[in-house]
Amino acid sequence: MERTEALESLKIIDEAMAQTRRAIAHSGSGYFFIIWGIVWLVGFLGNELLAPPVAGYLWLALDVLGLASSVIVGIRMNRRVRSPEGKRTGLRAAALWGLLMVYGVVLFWAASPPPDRFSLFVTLFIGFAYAIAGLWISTPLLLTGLGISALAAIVWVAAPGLLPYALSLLGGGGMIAVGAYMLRAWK
Amino acid sequence: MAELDAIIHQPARLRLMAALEALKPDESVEFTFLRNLLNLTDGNLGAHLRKLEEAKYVRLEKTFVERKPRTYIALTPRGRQAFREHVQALQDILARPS
Repeated sequence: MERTEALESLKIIDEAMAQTRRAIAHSGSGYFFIIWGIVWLVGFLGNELLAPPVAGYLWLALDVLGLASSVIVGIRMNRRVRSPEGKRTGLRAAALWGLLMVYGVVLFWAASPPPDRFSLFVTLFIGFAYAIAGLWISTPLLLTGLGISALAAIVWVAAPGLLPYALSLLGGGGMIAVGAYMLRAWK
Repeated sequence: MAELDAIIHQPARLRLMAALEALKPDESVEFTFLRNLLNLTDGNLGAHLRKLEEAKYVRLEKTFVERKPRTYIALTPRGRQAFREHVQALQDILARPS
């Protein structure tokens, strides 16, 4: 065998191993980004276009759908690779999200933000939750959390009236785009 | 000096073995996940797996999840050893004075 052929084979091996590790670690995340991107896109548009009580029910329905879809996707993703640690890791991830949600509700109650800052407060907390979870789960989630937080803060300072549209179209749309890219690139 | 393994050397099987080597020793991977990852058809992946199974390089475990049949694949210790020797042989070729 020639050196060039050996080099080519080693390159194929490195790429296949890297692709496998990436696919196991991150590829399923694309579905979560798309699910929650849709929730944001529809929910924040609903905030602006619907009467407040209707928008509240819409958020409730979207959150329930988002949670149910995430659980189903999580279970399906977990089946792709079997390992003794797999179930434990899934439960720890579910516990992490559960804890963050509980803390979000408690903080909202404790801080009692004025109505015009509801969206800002909730968005910043979700951005924080994504960033914290991202430190542990995946870099794209960390970057999304930081991006969402920066987007919310900048739009709030520059043009507060546009915040729901920015969160819907840029936040939700951005998550859908990131999710679609991840599914395509990291299958 | 390590020698090249003719069974592993075939490009699709080389990628297949590399993908399985990337798993932790106690992990196994589902057939469709591997098929999509490697861009192979069912028949093509099945044929390569049969070849590797005959050489006792991989272990296939058929099971049912929610009444649907699923196949999980993992490297055997012998397969892992053969793959590592194949990689060593490739590195030896590169280390040879030209």
